[in-house]
Amino acid sequence: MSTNATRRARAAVIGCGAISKEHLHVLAAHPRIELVGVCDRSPAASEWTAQRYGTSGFTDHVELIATTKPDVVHVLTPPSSHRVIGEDALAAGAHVIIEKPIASSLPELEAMLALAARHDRMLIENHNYRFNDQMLAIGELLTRGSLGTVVGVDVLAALDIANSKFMSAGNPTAHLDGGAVRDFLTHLTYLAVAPFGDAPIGTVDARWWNRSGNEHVGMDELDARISIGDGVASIRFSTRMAPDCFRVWVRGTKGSAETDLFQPFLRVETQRGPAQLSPVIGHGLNGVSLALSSVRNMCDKVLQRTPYHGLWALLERFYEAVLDGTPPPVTAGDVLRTNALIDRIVASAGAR
Amino acid sequence: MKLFVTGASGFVGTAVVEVALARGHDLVRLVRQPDAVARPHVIDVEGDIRSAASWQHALVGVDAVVHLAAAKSGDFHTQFATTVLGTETLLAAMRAVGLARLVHVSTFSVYDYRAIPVGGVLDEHSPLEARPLDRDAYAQTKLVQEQLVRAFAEHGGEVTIVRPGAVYGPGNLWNAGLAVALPGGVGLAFAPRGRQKLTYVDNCADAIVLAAERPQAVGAVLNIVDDAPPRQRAFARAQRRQGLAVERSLPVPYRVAAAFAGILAAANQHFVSGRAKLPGIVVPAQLDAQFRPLEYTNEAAHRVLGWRPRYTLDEALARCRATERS
Repeated sequence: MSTNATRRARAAVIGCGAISKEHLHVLAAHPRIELVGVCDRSPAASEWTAQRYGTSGFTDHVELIATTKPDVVHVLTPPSSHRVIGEDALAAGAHVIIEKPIASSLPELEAMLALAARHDRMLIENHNYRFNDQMLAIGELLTRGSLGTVVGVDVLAALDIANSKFMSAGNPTAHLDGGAVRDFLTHLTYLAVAPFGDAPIGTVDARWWNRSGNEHVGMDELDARISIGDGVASIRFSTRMAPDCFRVWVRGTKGSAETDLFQPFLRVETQRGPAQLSPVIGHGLNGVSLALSSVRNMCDKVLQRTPYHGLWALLERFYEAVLDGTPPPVTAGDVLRTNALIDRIVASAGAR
Repeated sequence: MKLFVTGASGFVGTAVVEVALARGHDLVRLVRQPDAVARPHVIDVEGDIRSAASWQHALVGVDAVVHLAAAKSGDFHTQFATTVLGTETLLAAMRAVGLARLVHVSTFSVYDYRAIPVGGVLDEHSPLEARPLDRDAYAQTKLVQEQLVRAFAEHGGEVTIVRPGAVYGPGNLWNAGLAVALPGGVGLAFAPRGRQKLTYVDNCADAIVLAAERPQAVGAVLNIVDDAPPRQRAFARAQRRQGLAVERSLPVPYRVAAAFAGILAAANQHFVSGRAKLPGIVVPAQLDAQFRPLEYTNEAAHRVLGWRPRYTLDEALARCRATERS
């Protein structure tokens, strides 16, 4: 009889597009996970992925779930199909992780979470960037109290997607309110709210624009300010700023920490040494840290450790929760809080 | 004939359209953006190849499909989406309307270059890549694409697979032997004595259209390279003769490049379990696909299609030069 330490979780992946590679990276190699099947509506995609990762391929998610009886289902399909597939998996007794955005609307998400609760299963949305090394390091600084109480979080993503040839008619974000901005908003939002813990969310003031003129992108610029507890979070998304970046800056009453999730570094400004020497010491230490980051980033690039490495860490923790009963890396409360705020950002921007 | 052409606005597709029109065919072009000015005998259908709803109707009444659409850049999944899923959609649409005749434009990239001894002849009987994961995304996705096409043929499809070599022409005068471009207009040329698998774009287009016209081409696989493909140095000299700018290159013998790539591959495997992603020119399988010195033959295309390259190397380069001037 297998114990928790030796039991392997049965994992199934539905949707074999680009993001599946990052999920399968973990599922195919993890000693405590057995990849029992993959599914895609395209027989070619299903067959290629199944062959590549040595598992069974399906083109119908119902058949996959019934045949393989997975403990965990990864839903990586376009957003419009998340609810149907997620609910089928939950009803079959599987825990479910769904790519962002998890649902098309807040009521839809609430219904899905209610179903998960009824079946006593975990349902989480992929909040991968929260688990990147630099965000975990900032989390530790917050836990240790090194930054004091959080009073400001700035999240800025600059990504030149408006000129991408893939932003054409039929792109999967086309049906979402806000288009491209909405597709990234989940990441921006959970990163902005997480450092505040469970402080209550107050006012939301957001605007968005289409600056590129590419009608297929939808909105490609966003500027949102959210009051949370005693502080303020700002979220910006731009397709015009150069170079591409994904900057997160957490500021507290005792210090601040800044990182970039695309070209990772960690700049921490807290009091180090005597007050008058602190800026000098801080600059010196941050300079060394920045130089080492360039070496580490080069190694990561060669070894294919991408900005998605946060997903690998998230999945490790999720499977520990499934197998060992540890707390999940993302809770239903996190998912609900993030998506409720997204709803308000979209409403605020859309009303202007 | 009435031909449905995918990838019609691409480099080879544009030439195929001109050749087909010159030979009296009617065309339906599947394009993302239709031409502003309509042309006689050409119908433009706007659409994405992955979404048949907007163009499947245009297959009705067509005699043959010439399938050129494929992604040449982007990561694996980007190329898979266009090259593989696009082909899967196209073949399903052809089945739905009962259209069997297909000229599929594949590539030399599908061959297993490591299986052919240095100096050996690559022809249509040469083995296909047995270890696709060692190759780049383009080769991997074109291999899957060919599998789909062969499955279509096994279920009643009347298929000709055309595999062009390196297609050159105006605006695409790449130096096929150049491995690394260095600052100052100098580059490293791997295997300078290696044969270049070149075909001029109009010559290649002739072969593709002939493949659609000739009933005897059904079931055939045809490599397309021009007659007597030049070695790397000869190609560079021929370009200079026509007054075309060619980067100066420092020659690196194939065996030196291959040994260096082999050492790096062994180190990658030994130290990081093969996880390091290195540039293609130092990955043995990819280096061989590009630079392994081989001989090429177009005998099958001559025999099956009655094809003769319309332009010699010098004539083709003169046309490139004339286009550059104009």
